[in-house]
Amino acid sequence: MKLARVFAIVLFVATTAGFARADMPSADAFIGKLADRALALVTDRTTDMPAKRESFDRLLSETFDMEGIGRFLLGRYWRLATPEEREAYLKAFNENIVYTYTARFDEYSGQKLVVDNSREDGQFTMVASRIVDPKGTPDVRVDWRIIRQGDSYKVVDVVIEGVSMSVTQRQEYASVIQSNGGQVQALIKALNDRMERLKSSGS
Amino acid sequence: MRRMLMTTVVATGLLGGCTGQGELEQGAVYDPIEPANRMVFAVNETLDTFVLQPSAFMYKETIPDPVRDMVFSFLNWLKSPVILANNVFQGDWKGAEVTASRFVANAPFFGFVDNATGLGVVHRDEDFGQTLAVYGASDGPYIVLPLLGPSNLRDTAGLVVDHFLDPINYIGNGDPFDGNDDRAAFQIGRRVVGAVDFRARNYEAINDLKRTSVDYYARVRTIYKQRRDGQITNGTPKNGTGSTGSTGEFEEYVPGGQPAERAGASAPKS
Repeated sequence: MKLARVFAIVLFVATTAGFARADMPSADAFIGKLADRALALVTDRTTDMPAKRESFDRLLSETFDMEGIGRFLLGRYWRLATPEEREAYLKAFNENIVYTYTARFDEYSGQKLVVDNSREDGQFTMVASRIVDPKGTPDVRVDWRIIRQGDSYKVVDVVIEGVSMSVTQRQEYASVIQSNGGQVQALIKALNDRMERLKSSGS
Repeated sequence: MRRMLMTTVVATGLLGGCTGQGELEQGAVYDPIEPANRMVFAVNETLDTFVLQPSAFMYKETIPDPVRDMVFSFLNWLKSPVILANNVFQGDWKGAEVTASRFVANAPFFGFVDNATGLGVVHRDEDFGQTLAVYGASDGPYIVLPLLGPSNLRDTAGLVVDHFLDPINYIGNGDPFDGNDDRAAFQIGRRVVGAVDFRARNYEAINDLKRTSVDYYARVRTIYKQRRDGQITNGTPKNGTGSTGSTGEFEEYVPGGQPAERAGASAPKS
């Protein structure tokens, strides 16, 4: 009797674990694939920068929860923003991210991303990885906060050596809004001004 | 030494205690003297633009990689006694063992050649600010120090203690007003080279941080806090929380595609 119950439990655990594996790519594989796609884009010498930006934009919208991140970065000011402000902000934020990261593409020199492990954390999964430099400099620790969405994952945050990109930007945005009397409009303007300067400096 | 440790712990504890950090938003840095900090920050930034950044550029373009590596490991080696003392204060015996073996392994070439890292004994910084944090001292108000950059009350107290922990400060003549004071010259030179080396190693990263930010001061402020929190826990996330130090804020995270009205609401306490 007891044996049968143990057997039933084992069977149940085994099948559910099996199901989870079958209908869902693992979190580790998701990050590995994301790194491969980004790397292909970075090392691609045949396409020019505007085309690369477009591809990177697509990669972001497919693998990052841009809407959720955008909202998170605005914190409590999201509720205070008008629908027009929200839309303008999300657009400026998205453009800013694309520019910031594509401008760094030419700094790449052979590094590889090694995925170590993953663990559950509330509604999120944390994937631990390292950037390994062939030149022998110490590894850079990169942790990914990802969330299940549909039958895949979306990235919510990238934590580099303990510094969270989302938290950093959230604090920065809050500071801009606060020093301008709580105006979300001021942040949108600051983001767009910054974009203009980045564009005119040719990067 | 013990008494000094206790006094500093108590002092920062008291100072941390009387500040109203309770009403801070999650993840925010307590910065009551922000206007003064911003002024010092601006002066430091000017110095970076006109002195440090050009020096770092020259350094990284003219000095070959292997030589810069030697400078880097020598500077690290000089820190060994202070790191060791803090390992011990924190009761981190494993860390103390690592620091001591690194010191001995690299001693034959006075720290210029880093054999220890190759043997799998990797350098890790400790300082008295971290020791205070391990004993429960809170950050205290954020302070931007002239020349030295971002800090807070706890870490500034730590800097002072670390100065007295450094055996180099007990060697030779220590009168800063004496024209041929080798010790002061050595200690200042070491800090200057350290600053240039740090700026050179993070040259592009720091330039990018500046270039892409909408509020560089606020960006550096939060990065400093997150880096310190990571160093204090030595990179291991606390139990029950997610990644290093920042999980609390994600409790209120609402994924894209869900009703926006939920976003920005106060964090539900589970």
